[in-house]
Amino acid sequence: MSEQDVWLVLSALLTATPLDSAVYDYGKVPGESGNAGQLPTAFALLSIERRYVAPNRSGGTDRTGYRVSVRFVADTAFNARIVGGWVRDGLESTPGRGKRITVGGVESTPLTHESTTAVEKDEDRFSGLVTYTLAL
Amino acid sequence: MRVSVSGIPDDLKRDCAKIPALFYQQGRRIIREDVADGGKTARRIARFKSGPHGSAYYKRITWDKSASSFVGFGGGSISGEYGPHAGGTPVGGGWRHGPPNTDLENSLDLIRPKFHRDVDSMLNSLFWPGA
Repeated sequence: MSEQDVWLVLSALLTATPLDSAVYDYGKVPGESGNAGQLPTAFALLSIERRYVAPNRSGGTDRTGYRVSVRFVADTAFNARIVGGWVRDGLESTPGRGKRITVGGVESTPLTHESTTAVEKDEDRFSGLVTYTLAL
Repeated sequence: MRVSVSGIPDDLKRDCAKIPALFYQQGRRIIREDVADGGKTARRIARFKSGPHGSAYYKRITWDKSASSFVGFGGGSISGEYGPHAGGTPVGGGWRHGPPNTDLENSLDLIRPKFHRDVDSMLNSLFWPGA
C-alpha cells in the first residue's frame, strides 16, 4: 500500500461529486504556469502525507496515520464555498461523520475533520482549505 | 455494634480543600511547558521541512512564555498559544504554491499524546500529591 493508492481512493470519492474530474495534484492544474489546457472554473487539489502515530505500550504502531488536505478553488468566494461543500459531501456521509475508505483490503477509520481555513483571495482565484485525518 | 471513625473525614476535607489550588498551580505549569514544547517542535519541523523560500520561516514560530488563566462566568480556563506570528510572506499557502503548510498539525501529533498524559497524571495525583 502506497500513498498513491490512498490518493487514488480519495480522489475517486471527490470525483463522484459535481467536481467531476477536476481533482488534481499541486502543479498539475490545466492552464497553470505552462500546463496545457485552460484553467478550470472550479477545482480541488488533493494532497496526503503520513502522520506521526504515537506508539502503543509495546513500543510499536500497528496503524498508519495519514493527513489529507483538500484545497478547493473557484472564481469567486461564493463559488469556492460551494465547491467546499462538494468536498465535504464527497468525504463525509452526514455532516461531521466521515466516510471510511478501503485501501488494499484494509478498511480505514472514518475520515476525521481536523481543520478548515476560510475562503480567501488566492492569486486570481478564491480558495479555502480543509484537512482530515485517517488511519489505515 | 459500634463503628468508630476518626480523623478520616477531616483528612479528606483537608485534602479536597487543597485540590483547587493544586489544580491551578499544576495546570498552569503543564500548559506552560507543553505549549513551549509544542512551539519548539513546530520550529524544528518548520526548519527541517522548509525549502529555500521558507528557510527563515521557523523564526516566526513563537509561544507564550506563561499560561494565561481566566476565571469567571461560572467556569475557568487556562490557556497558552504557539504558532507563527502574523505578517511577512505567507508560507505554504495558495493553490499555486504546493501542498499546505502542516508544521503546526505535525507538531500537535507529537505533543497531543504527551499533553493528554500530563493532564491525566496530574488529575490522578491531585488526591495524593507527590504519590
